[in-house]
Amino acid sequence: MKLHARTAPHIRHPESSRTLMSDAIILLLVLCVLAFLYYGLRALLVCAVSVLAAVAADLVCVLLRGRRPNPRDLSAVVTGLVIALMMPATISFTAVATAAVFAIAIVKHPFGGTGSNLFNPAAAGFSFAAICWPVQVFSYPLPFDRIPLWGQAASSGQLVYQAGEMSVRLYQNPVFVLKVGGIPTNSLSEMLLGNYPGPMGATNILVLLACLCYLIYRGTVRWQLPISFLASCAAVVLLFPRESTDRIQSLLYELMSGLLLFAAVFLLSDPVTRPKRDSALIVYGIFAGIITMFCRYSGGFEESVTFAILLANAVMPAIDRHDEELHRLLRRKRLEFGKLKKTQKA
Amino acid sequence: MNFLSEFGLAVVSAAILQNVVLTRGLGSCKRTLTLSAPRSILFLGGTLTVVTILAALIAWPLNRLVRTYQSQMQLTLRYLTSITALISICLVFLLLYLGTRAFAPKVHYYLRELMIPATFNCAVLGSIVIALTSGYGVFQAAGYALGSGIGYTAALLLIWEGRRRIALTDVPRAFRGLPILLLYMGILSLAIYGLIGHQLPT
Amino acid sequence: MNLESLRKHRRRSRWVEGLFQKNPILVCGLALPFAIMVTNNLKNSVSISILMACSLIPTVLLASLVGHRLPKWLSWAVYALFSMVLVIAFQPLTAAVAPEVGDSLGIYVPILSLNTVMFALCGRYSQPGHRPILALMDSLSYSLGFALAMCLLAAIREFLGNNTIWGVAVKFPVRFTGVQIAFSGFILLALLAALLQFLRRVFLLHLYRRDNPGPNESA
Repeated sequence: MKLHARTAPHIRHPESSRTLMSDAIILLLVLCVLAFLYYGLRALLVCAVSVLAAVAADLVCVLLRGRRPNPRDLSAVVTGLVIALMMPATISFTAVATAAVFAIAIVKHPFGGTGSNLFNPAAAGFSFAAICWPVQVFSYPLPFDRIPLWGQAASSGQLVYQAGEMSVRLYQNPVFVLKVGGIPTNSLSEMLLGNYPGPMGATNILVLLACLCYLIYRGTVRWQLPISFLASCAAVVLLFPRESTDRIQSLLYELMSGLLLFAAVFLLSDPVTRPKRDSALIVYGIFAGIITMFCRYSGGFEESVTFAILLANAVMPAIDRHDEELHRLLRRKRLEFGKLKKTQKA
Repeated sequence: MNFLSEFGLAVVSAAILQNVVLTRGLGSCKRTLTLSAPRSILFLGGTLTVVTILAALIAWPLNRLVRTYQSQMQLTLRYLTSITALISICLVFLLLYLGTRAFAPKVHYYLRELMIPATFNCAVLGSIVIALTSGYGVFQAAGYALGSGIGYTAALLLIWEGRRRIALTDVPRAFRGLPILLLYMGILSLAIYGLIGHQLPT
Repeated sequence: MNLESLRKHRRRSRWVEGLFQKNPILVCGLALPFAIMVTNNLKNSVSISILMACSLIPTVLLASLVGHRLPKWLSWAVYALFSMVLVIAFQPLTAAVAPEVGDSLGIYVPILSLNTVMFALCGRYSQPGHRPILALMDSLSYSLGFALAMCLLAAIREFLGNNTIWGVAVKFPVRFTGVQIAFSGFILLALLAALLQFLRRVFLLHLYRRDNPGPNESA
C-alpha cells in the first residue's frame, strides 16, 4: 500500500476560503453600489481607500513574516469593504485607512493571519476608529445630498462637513435618539428602504435581509447564528424596553437602527471567529445578543455592537470547547445505553 | 433592599466596568498571566478575593478613625488612605498566614505558596484604595472588594482561554510568549472600553 | 557557535542585565500596571520612574542585607511597608518634574510600593549567599531599564495621542486620541516587546553567523 504524507486539510470540499470570501465580496459590492446611488462618488472613494489600505497592510505584513503573498486570499478585501460600509460617507480618509490598517496589522496578522485570527479584524478596526474619532464616525449625511469629494468635518462642535464653499449638514442615526431616551421619528417604510441618515451600507434593511437569505441559501452562514442573535436581542428589548410606551415599535426601531443587522450578517458570521458546531452557534448568538444589548443600554457610545462582538469572540473558544465536551459526553452515554440494551436482550 | 441593590451595583461595577486587570492593568505580571491550569487560577483568585474583602473590612473603620484623628490634629499628610490600606493588608496576611499555620496546617500547606502573590498584589491595594476614596459605605466597600476579586479571577480565566486558543495558531515568532498575550489583553480592554466610554477615575 | 565568546559576553552583561536582556517591562513582564496606565504622557512616566528608582534601590539593599535573617512571613510585609514609606517620603520630588503630576498619578503612586519588580528582586536577594554589590547593580539596572521602557512608551503615546512631547506641541497631521487610553498601552507594549524579541533574535543570528561562516563564504 502506498501512503502519502500530507499536511492538515485532508477533507476536500467545494466550499473553500475563496468561495466564502467571494460570496461575501459579491454582497458587499452590491451594498457599495447602493451606497454609490445614495451618497454619490464619495462613497466609492471611501470604499476604495479602505480596501487599498487593507490590502497594502496585508501585503506588508505577509512580506514581513517572510511568506509568499497569496493572491487567492481575499479576506483583506472583505475586511476593507466591511469597515468602509460601516462608516458614514463623509468620514475622513485618514480615519478609514487607520481602521483598516489597525484591523490588518494589529488584530489579524500577529495572531497568525488569515484563518487563525482570534478577533474579528473589521470589528476591532471600526471600534478603534470609533474611539479615536467618535463625532466623525457617528454623524451621518442625509441620502441624496451632494457630498463634495475632498472635504473634511468641521472642527468646531457643529455637525457639518465642508469642502471650501460647500457644506453638508450631518445628522444623527435613530440609534442615537434611542440612546438618549426618545423614539425616532423616521417612518418604518423609509427605514426599510434605507432613506435615513446612517452608515453607508447598513441602512437598507431590505437589502441586508436579502443578503442574509442569500448567504444562508449558499451555506456560508448557518441560519442558527443570525436568528439566535437577533432573537436574543429582541427578547432583551421586549423584556427591558428603553421606551416602554410601545414595545413593538421600540423593538422594530432597536433592531433596524444602527449597525445591528449589518453586524449580524457580516461581522458575527465571520467563518474564522465563530464556533464550529450548530449548537455552539446558538449559544454564541444568544451570548452575543445579550452583550450587544447590554453594551447599547449602558455603553458610552451609541452603537457598540462591534465592541460586543469582540467580547463574544473572546468567549468563543470556551463555548466551542464546552460544546465539544457536551457532545462527547452525549455520544458516550448513547453508546453505553446501547450496550446496556444489547446485554439486556442477550 | 436598598442596601442589597447598592451592594450589587458595587459588585457589578467592580467586576465588569472597572475590571482590575483589563481596564487598569493592575495585578498583571507575567507570573500570574501564565498560570497554566484553571485550578490554580481559581485558587489564586479565591485567596485574593478573601484577602481583599477582609482587608477592606478592616481598612474601612481604620480609615474613618485616621480621618477624624487627622482633622483633629490638623495633620497634613498625603496618601494616608493608602497607608491604612497597606497596613490592613499586611495585618490580614499575617493573621491568615499565622492563623492557618497554627490551627489548620492542611489549609496552610495549600495557601503557603499562593498567599504571597495573592496578597502583595497591586490589584488588592488598588481596589481597596479606590473603594475607600470614592466614598463608599462599609457594605459597598466590601461589595467593591468582592467584585474586583471576581473580576480578577474572571479576567485571568478569560486570558487562560485565549492562551489555549493562541497555542493552536501560527503566531509569528517575534510575537510568541508575552507580546501576543499583551495584544490579546489589549483588544479585550478595547472591547470593555466600549462599555465604559470615558476615562476611569484614577 | 563559539560558546566561549558567548559565555564571556553573558558574564560581562550580567551587570547590566536589567537594561535590555531582562528589561523588567518589555521582557519579564513585571510592573505592567505602570507601563499601561501611567505612560500616557512623558511627565507622568518620568516621575514614576524616579519614584521607582528611589524606592527600589533601598528596598533591595535592605532585602540583601537583612532579608535572610527575617522569617519568611514577616519579610514581605516589611518590604512592602518600607517601600511605601520611601515612596511617600520621595513623593514631593515629583513636584519638581511638574506640579500637576501628583494629582494625575492618583492611585499609582501608593501602588508603587507593591510592584512586582521589587518583589522579584527581593525574592532573589533575600536568600543568604548573595553579594550586596550585585543587588545594588541589579536594582540600578532594573530601575534604569524600567525608566527606559516607560519613557519610550510614553513618548510614542504622547506624540501620537496628543501631538505633544513633554507638553510642547509638535506638528503632526493626524491625532489618534485612542492612543491615550489604557488599551493602547497594552497594544503598544506588545508591539515594543515583539520588536525587542525580534532584535534579540537578529542579534543572536548575527553572532552565530560571525562565529560560523557558512561553507560558501569560507571557500
